[in-house]
Amino acid sequence: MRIAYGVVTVVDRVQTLLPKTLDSLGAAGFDKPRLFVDCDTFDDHLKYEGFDLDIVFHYPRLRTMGNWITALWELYIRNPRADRYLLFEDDIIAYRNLKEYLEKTPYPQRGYCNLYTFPENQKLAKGNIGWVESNQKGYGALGLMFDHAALQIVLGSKLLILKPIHPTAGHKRHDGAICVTMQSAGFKEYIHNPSLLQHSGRTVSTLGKNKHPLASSFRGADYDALELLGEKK
Amino acid sequence: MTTECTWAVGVTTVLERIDTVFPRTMHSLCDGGFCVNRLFIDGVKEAQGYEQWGVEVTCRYPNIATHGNWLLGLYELSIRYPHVTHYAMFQDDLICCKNLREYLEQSNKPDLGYFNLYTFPTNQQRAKGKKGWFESNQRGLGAVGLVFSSKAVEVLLTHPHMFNRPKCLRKGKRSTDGGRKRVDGGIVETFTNNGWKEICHNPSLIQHTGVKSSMGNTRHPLASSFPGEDFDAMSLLGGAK
Repeated sequence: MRIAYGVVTVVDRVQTLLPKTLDSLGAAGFDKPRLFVDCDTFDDHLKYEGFDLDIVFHYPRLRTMGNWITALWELYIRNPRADRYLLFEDDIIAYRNLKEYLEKTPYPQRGYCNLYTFPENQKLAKGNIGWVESNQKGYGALGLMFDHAALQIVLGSKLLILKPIHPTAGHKRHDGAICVTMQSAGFKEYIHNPSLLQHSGRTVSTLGKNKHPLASSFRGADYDALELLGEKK
Repeated sequence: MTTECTWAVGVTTVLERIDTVFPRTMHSLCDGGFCVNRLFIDGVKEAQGYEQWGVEVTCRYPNIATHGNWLLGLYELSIRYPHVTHYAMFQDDLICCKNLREYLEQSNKPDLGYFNLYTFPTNQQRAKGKKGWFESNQRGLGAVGLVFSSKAVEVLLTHPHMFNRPKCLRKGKRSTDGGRKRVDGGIVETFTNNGWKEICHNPSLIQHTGVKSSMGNTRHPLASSFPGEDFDAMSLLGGAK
């Protein structure tokens, strides 16, 4: 099982949320993410010298939706034979050994995985452990995972490529647009109980949106995701 | 029919060429009337040395190779400039005719076609001596300078062929790259699957200057009909619309 993964980020967070996210992802097994950085100046690359990671800089900013979709394309072009493609945002906390858990967990057919479970979706799990269909509203893109079939739909989406034309929402709400794209192809969004990620952004999002609510079912950064394998049985 | 044109222009490049063919390309594009919006620099973490051009940049490290840098570059242009009518993607080793942009704007543009500004010798004979635009042999020879309408970009970037291309392992001397090197053939295959045509020009509107490919490919042959950098493309009007 090969998972190609990366983190989309903005330069403002290089000393705040990003290091914490990378530490948590390292403990989760994602120790060498490719960074996709939205920058403000030619010299912003200097702020990333200590990270020792493969990296892409966009100067000036491409903004959230653009950085996300081009990052996903790049993960694919660089790893066309990976089994899964997983893109994180820069303000998350993950369980220990999350990568190994994902590798051992069946992927929902004709679907894509949202690793962050909004409170509104939580009740849909009905107490069961594992992947469940979300309310199909596409809440959040803190960590989205695709198999090849799902990836092809997202990357070939006319809705997403035409989205920047929209006068007000062109660079925002790609989470909802992804969900709509997938639905139109007969694919479903799946969320997980318990939530596999927690949002760590304490301020407003990089787009000035309201902060995500916390995932009520998240079990904490010290929790070992592999324990979920036993609970499922 | 001519339409009012607005442009987004990108140049793909690698650091090895910053002091060789790249500066001449930038100057020539400027004389051609193009305002380059963005450089896509493959294989670097920093854009030092490029500030003097006053152009926005994207840096990729480590290198993703020709196809990836080109495709991602075009996608990025489409996101940053969603309202322009035309997109031009150039490689970093060319020279072009004076006032090329204005000539393109005055040219009739095909509804279902895209312009390859570099005319390979094997395409040249198809012009049959007539000046102006003509259908190429549809083999997609060269991606030194390509011009797309916004509709063409939408078709190209959403077609399953572009998705499948990175997985393509070709036999022969390119077998190691998994579709990472050649841009041109992938583009024309995508378009021909949609009934679109590649359109070339007589004379060739650009010339290739790279002696050595940054990907180790064989060198492009020179465009035999290129009239030179000092040639004013606008002088073609009248017989070439």
